[in-house]
Amino acid sequence: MFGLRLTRACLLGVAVLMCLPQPAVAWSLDIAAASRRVFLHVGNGTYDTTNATINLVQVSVPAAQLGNGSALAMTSNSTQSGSLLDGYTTCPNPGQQLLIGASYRRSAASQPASATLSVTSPANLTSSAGDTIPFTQISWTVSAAGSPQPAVIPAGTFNGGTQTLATIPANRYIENCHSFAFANSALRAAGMYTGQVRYTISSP
Amino acid sequence: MNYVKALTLLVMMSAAALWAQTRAMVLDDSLSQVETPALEMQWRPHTQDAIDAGMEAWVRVRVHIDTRPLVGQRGRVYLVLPVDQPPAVEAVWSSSGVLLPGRVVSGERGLAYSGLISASSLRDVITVRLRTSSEWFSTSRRLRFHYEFEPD
Repeated sequence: MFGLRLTRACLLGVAVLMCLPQPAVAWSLDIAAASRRVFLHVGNGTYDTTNATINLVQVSVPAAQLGNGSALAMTSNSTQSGSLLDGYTTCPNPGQQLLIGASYRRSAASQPASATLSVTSPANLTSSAGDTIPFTQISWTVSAAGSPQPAVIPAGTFNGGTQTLATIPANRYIENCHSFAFANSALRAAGMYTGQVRYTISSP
Repeated sequence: MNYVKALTLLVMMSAAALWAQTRAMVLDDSLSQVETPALEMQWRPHTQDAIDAGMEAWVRVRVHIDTRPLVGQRGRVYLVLPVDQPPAVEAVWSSSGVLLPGRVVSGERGLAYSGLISASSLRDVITVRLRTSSEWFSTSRRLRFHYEFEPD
């Protein structure tokens, strides 16, 4: 019985509050949420800014090891050892690693929940003489010093096409270091073989 | 028993809110001018744990509060930011004249002036920094600030 009386009193109190005159609007401000944003750097990069650097990953196969099936580590001309996020030395050996970082930011829950990081490689590396080496001969391992998720972008092997590497949740930044290796599984004609891969981040 | 306690608490909170609201007087500051009435939030840098740090924007407001009915009274003037939608907005302002610097979060009020009202208006230019987390319900929102006076 007491509870019932209290409920009525409570409802009365709420009703009185709702009937009070609402304050007049003095100054108002229309604000738009920040636009969706994706960011990606591969090797040398600059946080939230375009950096045109294209790093080179290479290997020279010693004559004595030609096509012997022993994988050869590739070197990098990247100098990016520190995270663009906070400067932490995520990749302590940039000469053998490529630091890759990506983020996706959304401002409203109605926007897509994630972005996708992918890489596209051509079918072959080619030489000036027209000889080829399948891009599938190149693979990578991953690491990230001090990170609880060193494989946030997983290890893999190029497939000579487009392959998905990672899904980036909204408002997250992911990064790790990629160390490349050449499989060296067959004898090739002498020459300089080149090819370019392209990393892409996208969100619908 | 818990039901009764909860209702009692609700009644007490309602009474307190009612008391505060009836004591506070909404002030006319319709002559205030916002230098950029339409803003776009900018992303803040990611934090060290790679989690988003939200968005922010800055705006200057030429404040002009009509205090003619209050001349000779002592009290406090608050900047009020009613709730519009989640997530909450934090407004931190700095002043260059009679108003105090302060901070207010959606659904709350922040002290902007305290003391004797000696003139027919309170005028100042304030710079307001707005911050929110991301994940808004919509891609735009309207903030409706106002000032209120509470006598000593």
